[in-house]
Amino acid sequence: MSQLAELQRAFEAAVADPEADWQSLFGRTCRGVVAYANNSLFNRAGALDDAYPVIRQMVGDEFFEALAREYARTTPSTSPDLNRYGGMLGDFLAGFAPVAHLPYLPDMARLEWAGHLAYYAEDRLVYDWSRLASIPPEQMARLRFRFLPDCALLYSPYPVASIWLAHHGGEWPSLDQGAEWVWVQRQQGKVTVEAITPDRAAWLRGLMAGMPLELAIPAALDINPEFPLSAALAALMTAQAIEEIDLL
Amino acid sequence: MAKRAAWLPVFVVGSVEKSEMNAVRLTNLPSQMGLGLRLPHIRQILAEKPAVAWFETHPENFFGGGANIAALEAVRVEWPLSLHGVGMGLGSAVAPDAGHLEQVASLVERLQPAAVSEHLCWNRVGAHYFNDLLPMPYTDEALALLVERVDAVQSRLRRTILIENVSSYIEFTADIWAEADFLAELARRSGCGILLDVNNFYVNQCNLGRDARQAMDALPVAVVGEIHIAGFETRDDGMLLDTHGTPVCEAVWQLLDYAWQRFGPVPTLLERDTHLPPLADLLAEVAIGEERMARHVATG
Repeated sequence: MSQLAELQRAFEAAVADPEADWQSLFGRTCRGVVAYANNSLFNRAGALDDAYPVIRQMVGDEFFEALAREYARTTPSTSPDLNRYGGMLGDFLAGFAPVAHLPYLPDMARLEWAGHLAYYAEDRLVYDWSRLASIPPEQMARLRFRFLPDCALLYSPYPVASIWLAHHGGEWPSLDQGAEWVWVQRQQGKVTVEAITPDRAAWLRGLMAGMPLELAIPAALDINPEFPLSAALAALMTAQAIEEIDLL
Repeated sequence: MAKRAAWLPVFVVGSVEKSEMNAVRLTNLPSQMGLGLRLPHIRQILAEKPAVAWFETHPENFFGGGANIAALEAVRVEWPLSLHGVGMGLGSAVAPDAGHLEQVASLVERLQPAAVSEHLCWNRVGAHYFNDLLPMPYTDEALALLVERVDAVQSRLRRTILIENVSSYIEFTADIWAEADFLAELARRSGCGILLDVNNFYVNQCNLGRDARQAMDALPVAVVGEIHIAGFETRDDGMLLDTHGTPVCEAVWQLLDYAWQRFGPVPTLLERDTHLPPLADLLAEVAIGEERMARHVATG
């Protein structure tokens, strides 16, 4: 290993254990290591502020900050961009005993992270639906939809979309009202969250996985034999969620 | 040693007041005070259009699409803009994240900023990032690596970048260069400019006993393309923490006067990152800087 690589590995070890004796590495300045240990922890913990405002509201400021520090202590950063840090908070919360009494918290974190990714997703041009007119109706079954990177579909056994909306001025749901499919999308620069019906969700899930239209429909019909395909297509068009439509 | 960059600096001006100092300009920023642009202020800035000569911001906050980059593009229409990276970690022994450089490159292309800068630092061991500006060991090996890395960035961006001295809470016993000599040699060998952070030299003077004026004296006049000032906080044991969380202190204003005397009135930025006050407070602090700079230009 090069001397530089060795010095940087030694620095990493010092930051992980700042109270040990690091005089051979840093001489008389070794007491400064604590500052890096603190920076490393608080920079990452602070990065969660931006992505998880609803989680913060739900658990309170003090608890959220302790939680963020614990997440930072146990979760290394794998990106030079701190906006990419924090994506595993949902999984972390699922195993975090102090919030076991809030079983919907992990899914709320996953919803907020999907919104965070949507907020920073790349700008792309939206599909021009007038182009669809050139495709003969008998070939419609073979259409495949490419979704914009600023939308996401989630499922939770809890009404997380309704809870999220309540934190943004909506009505408070009853927690035992059951599962929700959640559509998350950036629209005009703002993140929107919507609970959608299970038949539409099943159809969208197939489409987002790359299935052609005809293969995505049966899953929706299993849930709702009256699945309103044309209304679902119209909603997709209105939502401006599609970047490109290919004919397979 | 890496070969010298094959491109030429982009900004060449016809007449320069202190031509013996800056035959080739390292940035296209006005020689006035600028302000660090932070997301919580961006809408107010666009609505009120304050009389600030230029803004600087971190490209990392504008990666991807959406509302942030749209707002920054609107700022760019009205003001000269500098992109000041915090994520490249150019001195990390492991190879840098190519995707990160590409994202910076696409922003540079999209915004055509008046300056691009990064830090004399490293940020990564293996796959793990510190998300911090860590001080380099000042060794020959580190210098050779940085020359290569700066060259690669300049070649990719096809422009001169500025490299900033960082604040430090430790120094390596392995150091064989003085910090400022190391930076000056990096500039000489890579062709980059220097972003002189006066506050960081002051923090290092207090924490590590390095002399800030001597450090400035070690930097060639022609390579300093921009200056930063900011405020620090003091830990219980007296160590200064470079938090950019307070107004600039008098000692740093005085060091800034010294810098302006030596390097001329180069574009100078007020940075504030934590305990972000109302925009009006920052504008007032920028005005203090403008006044001091004008006095300096008048007497200098």
